[in-house]
Amino acid sequence: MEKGKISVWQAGILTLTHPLGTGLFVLPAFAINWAREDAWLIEILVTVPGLVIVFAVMKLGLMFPGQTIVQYSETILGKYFGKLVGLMFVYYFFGIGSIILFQMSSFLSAIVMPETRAIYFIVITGIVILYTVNYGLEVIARLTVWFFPIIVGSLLLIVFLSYKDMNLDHLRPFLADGLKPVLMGSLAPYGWRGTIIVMAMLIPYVNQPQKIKAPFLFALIGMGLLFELNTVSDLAVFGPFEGGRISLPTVHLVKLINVADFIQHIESIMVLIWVGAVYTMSTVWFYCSVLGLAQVLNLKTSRPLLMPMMIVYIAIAYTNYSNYPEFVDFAQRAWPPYAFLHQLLIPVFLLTFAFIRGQGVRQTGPKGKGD
Amino acid sequence: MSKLFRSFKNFNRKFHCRETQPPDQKQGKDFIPISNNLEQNRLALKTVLGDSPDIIFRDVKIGKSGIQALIVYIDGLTDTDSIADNVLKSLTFEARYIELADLKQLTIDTIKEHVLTMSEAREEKSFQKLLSYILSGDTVIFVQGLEAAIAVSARNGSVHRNVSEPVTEAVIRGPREGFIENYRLNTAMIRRKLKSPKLRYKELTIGSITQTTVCVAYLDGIADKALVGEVKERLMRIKIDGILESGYIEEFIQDAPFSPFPTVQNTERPDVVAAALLEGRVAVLTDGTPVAMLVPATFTQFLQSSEDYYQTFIFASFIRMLRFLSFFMALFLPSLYIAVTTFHQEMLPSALALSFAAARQGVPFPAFVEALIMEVAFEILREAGLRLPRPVGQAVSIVGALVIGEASVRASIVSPAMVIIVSATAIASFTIPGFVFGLSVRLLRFPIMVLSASLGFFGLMMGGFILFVHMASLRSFGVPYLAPIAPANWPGQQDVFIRAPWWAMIRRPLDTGHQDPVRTGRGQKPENPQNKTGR
Repeated sequence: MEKGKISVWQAGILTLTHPLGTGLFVLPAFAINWAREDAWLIEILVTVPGLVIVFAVMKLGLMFPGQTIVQYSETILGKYFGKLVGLMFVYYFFGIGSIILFQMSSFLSAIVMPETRAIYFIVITGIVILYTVNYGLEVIARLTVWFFPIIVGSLLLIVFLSYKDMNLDHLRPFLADGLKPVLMGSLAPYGWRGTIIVMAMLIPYVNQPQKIKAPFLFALIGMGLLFELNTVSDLAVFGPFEGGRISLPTVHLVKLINVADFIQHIESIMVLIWVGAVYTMSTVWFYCSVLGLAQVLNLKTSRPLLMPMMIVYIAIAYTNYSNYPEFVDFAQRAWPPYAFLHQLLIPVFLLTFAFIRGQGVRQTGPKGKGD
Repeated sequence: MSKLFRSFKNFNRKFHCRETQPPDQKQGKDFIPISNNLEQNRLALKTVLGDSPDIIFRDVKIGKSGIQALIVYIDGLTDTDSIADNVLKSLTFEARYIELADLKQLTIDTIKEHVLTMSEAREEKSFQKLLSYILSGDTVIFVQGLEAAIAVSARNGSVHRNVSEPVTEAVIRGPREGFIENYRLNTAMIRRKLKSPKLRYKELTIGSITQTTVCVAYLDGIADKALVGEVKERLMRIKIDGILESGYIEEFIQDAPFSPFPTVQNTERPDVVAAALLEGRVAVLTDGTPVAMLVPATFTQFLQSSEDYYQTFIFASFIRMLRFLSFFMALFLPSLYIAVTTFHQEMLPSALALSFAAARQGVPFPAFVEALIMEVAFEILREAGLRLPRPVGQAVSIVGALVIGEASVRASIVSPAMVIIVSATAIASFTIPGFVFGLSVRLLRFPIMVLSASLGFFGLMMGGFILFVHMASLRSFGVPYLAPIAPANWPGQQDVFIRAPWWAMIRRPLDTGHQDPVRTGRGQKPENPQNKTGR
């Protein structure tokens, strides 16, 4: 099993960075498509359930020190239901991870290399993921921490360079169609914000779990700010209608950039940087699924699982969707309930159940009270 | 080693009178005492050493007493003038002034204290020890009737080259001295820089035949004790017949034997060793080579030059960043060119794309093959220039420049753009201060070229990821190889991409210097004296 330890801030930055890759590509289109000119509200809105999941995961992590969500669900719900919930999470991480891999290949074949077949991207990335996961959490954390400034820097650069095309009037009027489209539109984006659930797998491997609160909130808020910035700039440039029609508005935003006829057509570079981030995301999710399965099966080491799981992972990524619109359909209609179940309801349910049954280590409250 | 001892034992059984003295408890079971009979000792030595002509046996009679003594040393290793003056003369002439009565009860102590005028003289009873003293250049005096001998140290100090500036690590500003092959002078050079009782040397002997002295140097209280112990333990595990250069040891003690990246740093400069010791690292010096090893060695240290710390910090920081840039250029530039010209032409500004296309007009190869030809040709040239005698080496570089640079472009075998790329890569790779690290960069360029030729930027990026993951997973003596970049720590950034001024580098690097973290006093930023007092 995992022997390495990561610091709390590494964990926080990992949680913040890993969903950026797909989120920056996909989210603005979803948000603008549903909520039109109110798309900027969505990221603010999903912070509310985000806070709930952060609280639940953090509390559970502190109540069951040294245990991942797969392990403490077994402690809370007993052997059979616990293992069932554990397997649900394993399948969730595994399935979504392979979908992320599919997304990556479709970005690449759509934007960068249209003549190369997707299977090459999937297999090669799969091999690199295998190589990375082989070295364990410490290396994954170092990788994501290094991606953080690169992605944030590239996003800020894009926003800065496309500022001249922005028209903030596209953000008005405020709530012209009522609250309903905004609420509906925020279902899918919560899937990305709720990726904080990976922390439920990582808290036991953090060196000071009691200090996790600040990095956790940093991840939640930081992720929101970056997505918000991304959505707003897409909305401001393309407007509520065109922005909803384009499937990858941020990529088109990058295509508009032209500085002195020298910095132009940088979308390949940008896409590749973000695709790199997608690779880290898929790595994190694959790692969580491997670790989770090893814990469900009570294995001493997860190493024998790596190879077979990666083969299935690649197969699912290749066969699950035949094209990108099919994925968009999944992400907008099928994923939200799926995401809410795993990324909100189950953890909250586990916390409630554990609380009612009086399990786990209790804290007497904030520092002032006890010793 | 053990074979040699077995022959001793056999020999011992035949010639030696065992009953003379029970072996000392301390000396261990391999202890063979010497005889009190001079002739037996002589015979034993001649048997073991095989009667080589360079081993000198000199008989003398001490003073007026007529007691025989035998002086044994190896010609060439020993300073014969000093022996003649301080041993022969003392034993034969100056011993006459000692009272006869004393000479009758001659002991090792009287000889040591009254007769010999050498600074270093040791009493020794073990045959093996004495043998190893002789073989390492000491002179041994056996005296008839005594069961101990004296080893005096008069090694021939003049047979080494002068201290000169190391060729591989030249600096503009900084000391011009470099290590030499004589190990004792090397330790002295470090001691001269670190005049502290904390500086410790621990010696080991490695190599059953070469008996090479290997020395672990560290600053007590600053270097982590566990690290020092680990280094010593790894050194003690080595079992080999000969150590001729520190590279032998390096391959035994490094953490990742199959990694292209070095996890042990090499240097020929005493100031680099002193700086490393001050950071809490450990140095390993080997007798017979000017190259010292420093552990733990991390990625950033290979991009640091000693001069960074001597130049102004602003300039040094600029150079640092330039070096990181050229590291990436040396690694990725040819691959980048291949990827852009083969897959992503749209990325280039139109004018540049046109001129690239025009340059590639008439070149029969794809960009990858072209790059491969040029890179291999360049590596061959570099190797040829390195091995040849210096005057011929220049001819090679002229031929290389003309043939490869000029003629091959005229013949449309390679494009001029490729010549620019390859030479820029080469120049970039020369800026990497750690030579060994430069080698790994040179090597890794090729697989990345293959990746980018087959998959464009995607392949390039995946190659970069594999490289990063590999480096992030490496450890050198427990320190993560990419520290302090990944895992990132804030205080460590003072000495990575920039070099902070000395008055701001308060702490030693976290990974090695955590035992005694503070190295600079606070509040030493130079200020205008008027501001300080008047306010």
